[in-house]
Amino acid sequence: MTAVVWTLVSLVVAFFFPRILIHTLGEAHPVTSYLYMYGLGFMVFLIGLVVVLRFGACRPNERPLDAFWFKVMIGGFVFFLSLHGLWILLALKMPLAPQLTGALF
Amino acid sequence: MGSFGIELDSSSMMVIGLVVVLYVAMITIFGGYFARFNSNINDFFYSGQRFSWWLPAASMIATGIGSYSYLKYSEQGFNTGMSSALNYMNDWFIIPFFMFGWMPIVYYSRVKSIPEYFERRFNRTARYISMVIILAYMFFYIGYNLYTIGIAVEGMFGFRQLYFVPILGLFLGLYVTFGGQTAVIFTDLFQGVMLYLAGGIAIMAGITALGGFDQFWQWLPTTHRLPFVHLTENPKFNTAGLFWGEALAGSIAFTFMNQGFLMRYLTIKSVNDCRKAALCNVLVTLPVSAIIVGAVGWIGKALIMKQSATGGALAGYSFIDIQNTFHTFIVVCWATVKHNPWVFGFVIAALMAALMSTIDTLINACAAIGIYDLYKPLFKPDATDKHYLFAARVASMIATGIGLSLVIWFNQQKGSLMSIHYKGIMVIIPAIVTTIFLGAFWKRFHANAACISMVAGSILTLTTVWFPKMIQPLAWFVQGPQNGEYIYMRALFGMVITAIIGVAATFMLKPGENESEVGLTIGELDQAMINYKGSGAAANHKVGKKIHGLAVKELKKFDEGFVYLNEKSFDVLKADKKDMVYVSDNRWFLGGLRSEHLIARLDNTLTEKEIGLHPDTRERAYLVKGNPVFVEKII
Repeated sequence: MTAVVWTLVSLVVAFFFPRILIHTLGEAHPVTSYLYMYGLGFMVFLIGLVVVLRFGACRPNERPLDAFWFKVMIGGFVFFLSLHGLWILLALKMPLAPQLTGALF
Repeated sequence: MGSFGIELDSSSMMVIGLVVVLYVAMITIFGGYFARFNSNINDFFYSGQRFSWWLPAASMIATGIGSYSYLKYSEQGFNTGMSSALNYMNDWFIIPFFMFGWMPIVYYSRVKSIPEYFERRFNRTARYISMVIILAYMFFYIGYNLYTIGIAVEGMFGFRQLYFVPILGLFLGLYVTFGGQTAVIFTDLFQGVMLYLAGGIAIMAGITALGGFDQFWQWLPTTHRLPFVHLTENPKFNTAGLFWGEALAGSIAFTFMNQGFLMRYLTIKSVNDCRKAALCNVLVTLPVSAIIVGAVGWIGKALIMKQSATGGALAGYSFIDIQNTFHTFIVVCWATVKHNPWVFGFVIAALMAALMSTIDTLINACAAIGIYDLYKPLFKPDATDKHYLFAARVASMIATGIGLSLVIWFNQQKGSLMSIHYKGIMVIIPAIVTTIFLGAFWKRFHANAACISMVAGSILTLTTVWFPKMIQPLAWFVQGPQNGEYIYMRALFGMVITAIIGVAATFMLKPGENESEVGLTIGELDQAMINYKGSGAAANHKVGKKIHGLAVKELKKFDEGFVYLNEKSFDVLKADKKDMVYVSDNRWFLGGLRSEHLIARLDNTLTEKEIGLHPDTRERAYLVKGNPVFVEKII
């Protein structure tokens, strides 16, 4: 039953989330691609966490090593999310060569 | 500039050729030394699950970077910029499924190959269906590697691929054939360093040519600076397609079913060390590799922009003219090293290293499947290890031959190297990736459903090559590109259709007679750990300490396959009797080359500075007589 609920929720997110993004920012905006990747990616990541916890493959409360790896998994997601966010910021905010400004983007 | 990528005079050709030949000779001798650690067929393919995490993790650098990587990602980097790095940096989403699901399942069940998993989880039919798909995947990669090295050589020397690639293939087949997995791991470790070094030289030369990093960044157009490409615009490279096709299907395929990578994990001493290797690979190796293989393309773009704006070649450098983007890497590199054949030769040797290190893993993996899934169960179930070693070498040569024949198909394809690559991969992987997923994470999924979903899923995915409109509704659903060219969305279609067929068949069909072995799904990992230990005791998850500098007391009164420890050692290790303990040479830099997993037994006649082993056990672990060891509790 839980699997059916998760599948339905995933379908709803996969359908509405991109539409809301495109409606709000437009397809061409660099942040649209970023949020598309990490929004839907988070959904997959979250399902993964739920699955390994629910089946007892990862037991952070009982096994010290599992607790460590659970934190690593969440930390890794935050790391990539931050890295790509910062990268976009630098790409958009740092100055271009004067000859390129306006001509190519 | 001739009809090829770059023009080389005869003396430059000689120097480059000499550097490459010397390098290849050196690596072959280096690999030959480690062939002595293959005493049986298990060692030849898996090195007996004994290495520390860092050794296979470091060798994964070279495994992950193929000769195609430099050419493909440089071309993509030149065309679309830093978004070329995305393929190497989108694997984290599936990490929970891998670290706590698939990896421990495969590791604890001591599965040797994915087809073997399919037989044990489902039935023999499922094994052979999966074997066909996985071999198609690996042959595709062997062919693609050979094709791209052919392009590079054609771009430099003008040698026709038709003549050069078969000669190279013959050499590579021989090289892998006599080394085995230990040789592959150690040569890959060395070659990984070479790849980063040569890539670093190429990048530094490019940045210097531009006048520093700030110049590079300033001359790179904003579109090329961004880590993400437009959501849907480019049919051959778009973020929506990359997410569904590459981040999900591609990443799962690379981590879950790539026999080469899987075999790397199976050489590691424990699941905890496997997790460290996976972490290192995804968090460090892949992002650094993305820069190493793609940066020359980004630099090439900045150089071209600067050339156009300043009205000609940069001072001290030749004019860069990329007529064929396949040759971006060699054209930019040759110009930025100022036509120095020694430095360029070193970089080309790294390209060769990339080819060798990827292809040796693939050929070794194909041979493993050929022996464990085909030859041993069907033709010679009870032959000697010597016979299987010989058969493995023949299988390596056959795998190389099939890869070679695929080069003809690649030569007939059009589009960028990236699109040619994914055109094939996105057809091959979806059905099997989904079936692996359902098999590992859903106990109810049964053999009949697995067979039907793999076959029907593959056929329907293949059908979309001729009827791409079948993909359109799904592309619309997730707001992906809807342009008639669904390179990446094809993988999503394949996964969805396979999942629907698999779920429907599970409910509609009877499970069949075969009972799945316990320990092959995520809900049965506790039992899988007990089976793995083999002593009947449950897994011990307490975290103890390693004990270093122990002397080995070697006596025939000790039973084979056991390690005898003092009670205090048990306390430090936080081990219980019958726990699995890892005994290794004390020298960390050997990475576990001389080591063994043994079951712990108590013997208080030993001091806390000693362990007891049977002489044969010490020999089997390759432990050197008189050398100190360390012990660590595994599970």
